[in-house]
Amino acid sequence: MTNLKIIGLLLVVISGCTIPVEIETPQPEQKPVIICFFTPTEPFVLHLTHSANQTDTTTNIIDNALVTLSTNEDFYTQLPHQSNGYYTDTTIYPKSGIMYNLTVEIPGLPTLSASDSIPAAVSTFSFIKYTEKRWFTEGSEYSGLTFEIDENPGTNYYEILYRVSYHHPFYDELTPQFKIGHFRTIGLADDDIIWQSLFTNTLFAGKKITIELADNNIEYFRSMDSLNYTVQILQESPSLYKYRHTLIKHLDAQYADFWEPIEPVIMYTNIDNGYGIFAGYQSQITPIIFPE
Amino acid sequence: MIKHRLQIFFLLLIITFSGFSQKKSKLSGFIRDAANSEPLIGAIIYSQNNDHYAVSDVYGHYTLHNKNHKTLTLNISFTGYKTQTITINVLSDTILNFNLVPGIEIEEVLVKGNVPIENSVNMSMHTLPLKELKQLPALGEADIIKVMQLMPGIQGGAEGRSGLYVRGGSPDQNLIMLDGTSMYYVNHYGNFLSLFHPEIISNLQLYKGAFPARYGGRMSSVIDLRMRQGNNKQHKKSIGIGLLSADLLIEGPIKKDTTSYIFSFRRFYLDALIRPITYLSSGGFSAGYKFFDLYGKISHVFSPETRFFVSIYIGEDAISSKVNQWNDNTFNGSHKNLWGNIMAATRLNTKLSNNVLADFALAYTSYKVCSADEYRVDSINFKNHIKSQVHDLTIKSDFKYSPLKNIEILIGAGGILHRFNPAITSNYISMADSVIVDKLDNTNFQADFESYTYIENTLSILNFVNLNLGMRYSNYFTGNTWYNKFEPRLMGAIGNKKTGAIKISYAQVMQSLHLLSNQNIGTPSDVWLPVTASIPPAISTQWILAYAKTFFSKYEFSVEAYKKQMVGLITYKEGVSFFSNDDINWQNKIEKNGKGETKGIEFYVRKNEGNTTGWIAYTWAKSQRLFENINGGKPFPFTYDRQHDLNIIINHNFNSKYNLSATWNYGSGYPITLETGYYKTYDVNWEPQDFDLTQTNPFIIDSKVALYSPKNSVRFKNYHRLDIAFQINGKTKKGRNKIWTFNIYNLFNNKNPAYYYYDWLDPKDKSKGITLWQQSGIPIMPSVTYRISW
Repeated sequence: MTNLKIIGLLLVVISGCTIPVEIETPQPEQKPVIICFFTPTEPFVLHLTHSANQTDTTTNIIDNALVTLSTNEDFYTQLPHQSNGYYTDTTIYPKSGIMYNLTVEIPGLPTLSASDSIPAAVSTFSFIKYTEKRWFTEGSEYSGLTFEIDENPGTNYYEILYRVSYHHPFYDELTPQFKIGHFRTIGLADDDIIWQSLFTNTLFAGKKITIELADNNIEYFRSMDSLNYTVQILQESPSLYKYRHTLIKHLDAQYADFWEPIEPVIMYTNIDNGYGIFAGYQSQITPIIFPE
Repeated sequence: MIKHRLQIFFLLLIITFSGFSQKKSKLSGFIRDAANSEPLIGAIIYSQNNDHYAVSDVYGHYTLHNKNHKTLTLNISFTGYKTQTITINVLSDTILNFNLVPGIEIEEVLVKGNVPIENSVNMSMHTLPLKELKQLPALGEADIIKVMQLMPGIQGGAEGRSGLYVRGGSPDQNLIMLDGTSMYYVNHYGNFLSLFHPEIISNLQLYKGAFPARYGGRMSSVIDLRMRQGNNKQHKKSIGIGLLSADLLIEGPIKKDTTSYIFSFRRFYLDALIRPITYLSSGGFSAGYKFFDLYGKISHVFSPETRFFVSIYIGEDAISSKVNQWNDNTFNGSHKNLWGNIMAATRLNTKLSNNVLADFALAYTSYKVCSADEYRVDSINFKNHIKSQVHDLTIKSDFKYSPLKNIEILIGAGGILHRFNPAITSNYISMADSVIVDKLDNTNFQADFESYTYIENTLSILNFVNLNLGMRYSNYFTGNTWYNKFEPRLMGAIGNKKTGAIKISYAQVMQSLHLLSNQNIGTPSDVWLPVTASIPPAISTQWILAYAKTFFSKYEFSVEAYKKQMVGLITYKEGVSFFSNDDINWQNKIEKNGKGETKGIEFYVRKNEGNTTGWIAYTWAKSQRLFENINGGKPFPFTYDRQHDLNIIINHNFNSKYNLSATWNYGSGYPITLETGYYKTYDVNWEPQDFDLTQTNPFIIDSKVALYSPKNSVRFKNYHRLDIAFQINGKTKKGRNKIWTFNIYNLFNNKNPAYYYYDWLDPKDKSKGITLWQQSGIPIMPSVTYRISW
């Protein structure tokens, strides 16, 4: 496909040109945007802005809103504005299994609202073994890291990532990175249930599941000094999972170009009268200890 | 209710069969080119005695009935040929063949080379004269599909392309047939050129609606192209050379007057220009694009009434790259994308009796897309191949029965065996002499069977009412699922030369194949897919109301209003492209059960006679789509919906040597979806500055969520373009015919939009903000071609 693009682009570059243009475009409806992911280990932090026009490069923060959190069990509090559109109270931590109701009142605008909860954490998420490099059928080599999840009953939604940092011998500095690896389930009829970093437990609900991270960079990382290698699993609420799923597709579609057009993906939101997301998650991290 | 309608319809068909027993004489035979015996399709034989006429069919065959006259005076005419006039005695059924000589038509002849539009039941149909087509301006070289885009109701899609969007339909809704065999892939890469080389095509007919019952399987148009049969009197050669392609055509008799051949080969040689540039600029890497088209046809005359044909087409596009000793001298590799058609057809055309002409055909056609990567690193070899294929085997027969004056009945049936292999993959890895991986996957194929039968009855009543009544019964078997449909086809015209003719049409069509395609560039990503148990066929219903009249005996005028409704459409889901590997099952990538509605009015004025010919075509149209999960379930404009479209085409012959032609196209902008706003949201903090193993929150507000206008609610700026061509005909010193053609594409150098995007107005001074930019299409572009024939 790259060759097609190169040649196609060459034809256009040879023959075309670019000019600024003015056309009539519909103006998007300006709406407040709430971004709040919450997890038991951190206090509630809510970011509140206005959506912007495409040509607007300024940040449209909202600092005069009344942000209220409540539950169905007599919990009620307000999150004060701190700075740059962030609303938080460092003493208020969310808890798993409780439905939180959010209302945001902004002068002159309809009240925004949303509800979500934090799912229970998986009981086991552990690193099992490291496997020496093997071959992918696609033609590249990889090494494997195997994990085990002993999950909770019901429908669960996961996101799995690995993070790595090391001292690069040339640059002599830490190069921390989060990565989406080639994760796949082991022992299931369909081992391709993990899309990007996201998956659900539809094929193994309530059972132990083994996951392998197949990564052709592991050997490279192992050759570096001061390697820190961890794998993180997020158990997400259905709303957060849907938001993350849509976001990945949304961003992919944004990178589509004339040569590979993709239908734009409209972002999911669970905010009434606004854009954004208010959703909870659990996180567990397991360090990887490579054999000497 | 449907049953009741069918009963009425068949009754109408039966009524038209009445009166078969009347006794009369009949004249029949073939009309051909005197120079090379090529059949002349659409030639007219006209009886001055009774004002009757007949039109030759795709084999040049005609049948003219005579009821009362013992002696007939006949004019035999065809555009671009000298008209013959003869007087003969017709006491019984007579076979008479005519050979017309090429030349300028005599002005006084009563009947011109085309059927008067008032006397024809046809509507929404265009026949393009090939000679005129080759004289029109082109981007590089003349292209049949691009000339079709100049007709009312037809859009070309992106600029300079050979896309074909007929009355709001998509490209897969066009039935494109070469010698009666349907072709899957009709445009070369980028859609800049179609497969159809004008030098080998003898005739083409384009139906935008009002489809006769003999055609089916596609909802929006039928393009029936016929290859030349070759000169059966003497050997001829022709060579054409353009800036980017060259072609060779040879033809002649294998046995004089009995067996002839014609072969044509065209090669596009952009790779010869690009490869050296990429190689020199990269030091080891080279890439290029090429294609070829090979046509061949052998025709044999068993008897004056029995002919046999073998037609072939082989074409392939290839984009390839090679790396030799890249950087560290250890890497060698190549990548290839190949795609193309193969078509082979045999056909026997014979007269079973004086009244019945039969045509039997057996054809094979295939379409493939391949991607191949092969590379070597040190002692390790890798080979990855992906292939998608469609194979069709078609058998069909058609019978034409002419029992009475002004009645012609066509009956036919056919079957097509489809075999689909959507994605065969193979992987091979070896290290030194040992094989590590050797896998072949997805070799399963889907075999479907499609069949049809039809009956079509063309009749004329008192030379004032013309009808074409037909019914087609289509079937499609896939797995355990069977789809079938009766497709009524009705055409009627009332009027004569004085009053003009009012025409109406109603047609239903079932389409059982879908195309998943990149609509912009026509890359080798086009994948043809069958209906399945969960994806039903698409069905269209089209109504047409038209008025046609010839003014001043030279100017044909028609106005047509149409409305077309479609159900069962498919498209990609949001966020999915053909190249995405999210899901192997293509059925999960599509939105199905879509609906479409298109309507429009087309005005068309054409002048076919004299030194100056041409046409003006204006279309007002509106085309919409509706899918449950796209655009919030609201209707949206079709990607190539163009509300206003105006084409003016002028072709002037100064004399036999010089010709000047020009085409001007103006159209309102195509619809697009544009980002109109944004907000920022959490995404994974891919490169955190402060790394903390215990930090549980991997997110940071970093990603930009785009807010879009409603789908296709923004329009490109309006489009206009003037092209001109100047042709010089002459002789070489050796007496060979030569033609120089000079083209200027986009003479006004108008910056027509290709696509829009947002970027900084001045990247060096971001305080000026962000603005909308236009990538313009092809600017003024001169080109020249040279053709020599002998």
